Amino acid sequence: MEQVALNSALKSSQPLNQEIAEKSHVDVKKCYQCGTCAAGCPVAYLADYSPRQIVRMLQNGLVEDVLKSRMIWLCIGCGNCLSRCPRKIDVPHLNDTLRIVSKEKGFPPAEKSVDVFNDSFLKTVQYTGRLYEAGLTMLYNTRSGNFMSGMDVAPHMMKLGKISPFPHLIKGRGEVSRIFKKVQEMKGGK
Amino acid sequence: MKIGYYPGCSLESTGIEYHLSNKAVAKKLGVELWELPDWNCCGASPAHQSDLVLPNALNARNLAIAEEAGMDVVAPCAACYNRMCAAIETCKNDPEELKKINEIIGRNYKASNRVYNMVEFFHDLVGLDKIAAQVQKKLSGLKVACYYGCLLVKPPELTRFDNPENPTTMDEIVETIGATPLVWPYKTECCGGGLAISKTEVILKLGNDIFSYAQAIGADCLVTACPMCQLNLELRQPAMEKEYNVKFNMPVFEISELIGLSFGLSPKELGINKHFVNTAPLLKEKQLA
Repeated sequence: MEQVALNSALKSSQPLNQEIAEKSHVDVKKCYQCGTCAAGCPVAYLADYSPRQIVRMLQNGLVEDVLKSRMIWLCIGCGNCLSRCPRKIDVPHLNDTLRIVSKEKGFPPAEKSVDVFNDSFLKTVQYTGRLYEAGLTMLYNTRSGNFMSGMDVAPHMMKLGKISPFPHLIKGRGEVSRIFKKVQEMKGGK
Repeated sequence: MKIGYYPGCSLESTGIEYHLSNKAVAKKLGVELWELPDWNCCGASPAHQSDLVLPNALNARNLAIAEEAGMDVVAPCAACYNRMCAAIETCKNDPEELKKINEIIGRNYKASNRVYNMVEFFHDLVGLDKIAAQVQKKLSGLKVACYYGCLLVKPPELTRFDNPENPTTMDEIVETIGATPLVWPYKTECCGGGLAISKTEVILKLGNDIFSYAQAIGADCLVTACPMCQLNLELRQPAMEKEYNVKFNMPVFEISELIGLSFGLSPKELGINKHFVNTAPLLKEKQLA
């Protein structure tokens, strides 16, 4: 890692750090860096920073590095870290918030496949009211470029009659679409 | 007893055996599982990873449908259960947010009801004595590793159910129906289900860790209470075996399937013929079918 000037980083990142704290209701200053979160994290082995490091970087004002990190996209939300944290710092919710802020600020997602999966999943819910698995697979595969994803297991699933090629359209799907639309409107989005 | 039942999307497709066995077992126990009319998806991980309000709004609609009918809810999927817990928590403690959510969903949710997971339902609401009373065929000789997964018990501030590191409620049910629950340290380790499609390498590692330990202590099968864990651990098992050059061939049952077998219900009625890992050899060996 290159040398960073922490004093100036802390100062210049203050507004962004403040925004993250307000949105997440997580106070990273409470963390005393024991590392219990990192020890129990099931995805830390694959990530660029451990949960402990993410929190430390926020404490030191390295917010942009955090927003560009892979860890915030790999966090699976299992809750190990929060359950064991002696300071009760909600790292899973912090990571959720960091992803959301990262996208809002226009940083390209460091794990594109996770972002595309989430987006494809929600599209099917928005239009049908429930998860539409075949639709999700088609959307995800074409948008992620992983065209063969799931194709190894699809025949087995079909044979057992477990996935349908058709969506289950609920009666209240208009209501569900409106929920998505209103959430966007309240944020001042499209 | 009558209680609201929120199957969630998986139980209509990949987790159909969980759905069938819940309904068959509840019927035997004299409980009416009242399926919430026209329920919607809880949004799962993609919703809470993408927006701060959307997941609570999606869950509040379902919870409001139950509340309007005066019902609490049982949610068999651990992920749905966890998200419903989170929505209730927010709606209860943040009146401003509840107001906003009601405006979004166009309903008047009051957060007066609560949600139970399936183990909690069997263990606390039905009770071990009532389960024991229905047992016709003890699952003697079946060695079971109870796999609770993460979202059923974590974080404890949200779920307020059992113990986040060493839960025992499912073990007690397994004991009640005559099988042997094994002591093991992977009860609440994450299987990585949420990354099954977007980051498959993660679940191969986590699954291999879980099955390797279960196999080492002589488990015949895992039992879980989550369609995500069940799907992930069975469907991707051949890929785990290939990646790590091992052989598990270990079925993953839902708790309701094992209860149903002990009640003398047929494997077909319980959906046990719909597993990705063939369950027939094990059931035959243990004379359970």
